[in-house]
Order: sequence, then C-alpha cells, then structure tokens
Amino acid sequence: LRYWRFLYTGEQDCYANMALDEAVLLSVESGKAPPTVRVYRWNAPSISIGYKQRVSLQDNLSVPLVRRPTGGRAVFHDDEYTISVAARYEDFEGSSGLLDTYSLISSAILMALRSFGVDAELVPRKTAVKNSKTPICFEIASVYELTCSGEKIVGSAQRRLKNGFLQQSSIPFDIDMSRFPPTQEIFKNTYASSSKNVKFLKNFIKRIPDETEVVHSFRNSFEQALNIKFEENKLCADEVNAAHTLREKKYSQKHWNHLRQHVELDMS
Amino acid sequence: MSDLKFSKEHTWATVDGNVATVGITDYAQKELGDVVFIELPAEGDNVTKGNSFGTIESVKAVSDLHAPLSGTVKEVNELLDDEPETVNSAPYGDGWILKIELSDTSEIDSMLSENDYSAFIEQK
Repeated sequence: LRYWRFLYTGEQDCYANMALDEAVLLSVESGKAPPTVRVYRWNAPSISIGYKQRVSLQDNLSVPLVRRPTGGRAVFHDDEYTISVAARYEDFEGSSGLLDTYSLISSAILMALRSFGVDAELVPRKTAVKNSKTPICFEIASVYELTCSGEKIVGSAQRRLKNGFLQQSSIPFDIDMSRFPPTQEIFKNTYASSSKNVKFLKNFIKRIPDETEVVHSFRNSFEQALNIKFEENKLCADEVNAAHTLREKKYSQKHWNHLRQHVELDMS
Repeated sequence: MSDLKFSKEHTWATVDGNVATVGITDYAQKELGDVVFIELPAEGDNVTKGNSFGTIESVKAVSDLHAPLSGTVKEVNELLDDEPETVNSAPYGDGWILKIELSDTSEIDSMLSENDYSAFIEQK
C-alpha cells in the first residue's frame, strides 16, 4: 500500500479552485508533496473552459468564467463536487498513460456513485463519440467516462507534465441553467445548444447524500480502487502561498481567462 | 522505420546532416486521442533536450511536448495549425512537428532504437 493525501477544501470561487489545483500539481510533480486526491465545491455558479478553448466573451458575462489548467471543453459548475487527482506517473502501478489513469480514476468515482444508488457505468473506448464540434463538455461522452442511462454524468480532463499529471473530474449534482448565460454569448458560431437537456446526478439518485457522506464515500472508493492509503490531509504553506499567487496573477485575470496569454510567475 | 530514433517522452526523430525532424510516436497519438490543438515554438527559438517546447491538446488532455534533442528551431509544420489531426493520421509522415538544427549531434546516440522503444512501451 502506498500513502497518498486526501483534501476536502469545501467551497471556494472558481479562480481559487483552479489556482489550488495547479499549485498542488506543481508541488506533487516536483516530489515535494505526496500524490493527492482533492474534493471541492464552488461558491457560486461559474463556467470553466479548457486550457486552449477559444471563447468570444462579452465583458458583462453574468457569471464568473475561468480557464482551467486542463484540456477539454466548457463546464457549467453549480451544485457540484469536483475531484482533482495530482500524481507522479510513478505513483501508478502498471501504466500511467492517459487512458489507463482515466479508467482507474473513473472506476473510483463509479464506486462512490454506486454507493449513492446511482446505476452508473463506464463508457467503453470503442463507443466514444469522436470529432464532435460542441464546445460543451457534457454534450459528448468520450472514452472511459461515466454515464447513466446513456447520459454523461461526470466530465473529466487532464493536464500532463513531464513527471506527473492533474485530472479534474466534474460531478454535477444539480445545475440551475437559468442562472447561466446562453452558450452563444460565450462561444461564437455555437449552434443551438442542447445544454438544457444535460442530466445531473439529481435525476438518477433516490436519496441525496449529505456533504459528509459524499466526501467520505469518495475517500473510501479511491482507497479501494487505487489500492492506496490516505495518510495526510493538509496543504503545506508553500502550496497555500503558490495558490494565492496563481489566483491573483493568473486565474482571476482576463489575460489568462479570455485571451489565453501565458503568465510567467516566480513561484520560488 | 529503421532510421527513426525514439525518446522515452514519446517523440521520434530522423536526422539528415545536422537537422532533425521531430514528431510524436504512434503510441503517443493513440494515447492522446483526437488532437485538436498544437502550440509550437517560433522558428529561431532554442529547444533543449528533455525540456518542454510546446503543448499538444487532444479532446481529453493537454500534454507537454519534450524535445528529444537540443538545437534551434529551423521550421515548424504549419499544416498542423489548420489540420492538427494530421498528427493522428500520419504521426511519422505529414504529422511531423518540428525541424531542429542540432547543437550537439552526439545527443542522437542516447536516443532509443525502434526495438528499445517498443520494449519500453510494453513495460508501461
């Protein structure tokens, strides 16, 4: 059994959430922190877009928007649990490739969802839909993603560095679409979006578990699925400081979120 | 493919004189899935063996690209701006990524042969 770290950081704004994921990735990838599973929530309806996703934004967008450190497409965050996994490739027994890590992390999430009574399943590789032009993550089920009754219920994306990776998996329990702007305001040339048809966990669950139970279930299912043991549960001071800098200088800034301009930060 | 050399970061190189053509391997493109964007350095930029020189994004992940050899970027494959999926359809052909004018041709000796690379990915 190998020792990992489990963090539950509660609700924060979208900028702080992305900043902390990047800070933890950098700290884990450099070997300063153990491999980490973090569960978190969002303090307000927010939109995250992929690392390189093109947007055409108006200044008066009604909800905050943040560009993720990971790839993929746009996600609307509301009543959601997000799971991020930051690990070095050597932390995975066997293959640490993209598909294998996706599969393993998905199987941990699947185990937790089933414990809530959700009849979820993993989408096998060969039936993944390819080359869809939709800018919305939840409108396309890709390889090894979790679906229920054919509807995608978990959206995941990774950032892969030289020695390690970050996976962010978004698990919406409920989304009030009336609180979000139409997708046409964010993505130029978007054809009529079917976002209103997106299914959330609430639709497939008989009993909504409380926060303590959700977090506990994720913790247990990751220990079982990855054959690991969580020992630590705290951020170190360097990570807190790095996350603060990343939030202020990068993730809350228009040059990153709207214009995809890289920011050179002295994180030492 | 006997003149191809490989790196453990899943890039390949062929060398003609002191210029190397570099791309990602078939294994890497299959792992990534459909490539949707490639961020490349400019001509004239220096790249260093083992260091990141750009990013490649597929539908599911953004990955750093690591230079298999050191030198100066002589040419980038502009086709990939409009048709990044060429990396999937022809990783060893039209999907090449960079041409590098090498600063130290002896670095080639430390790259893997096709057999060694095949053995490396089988262990993964």
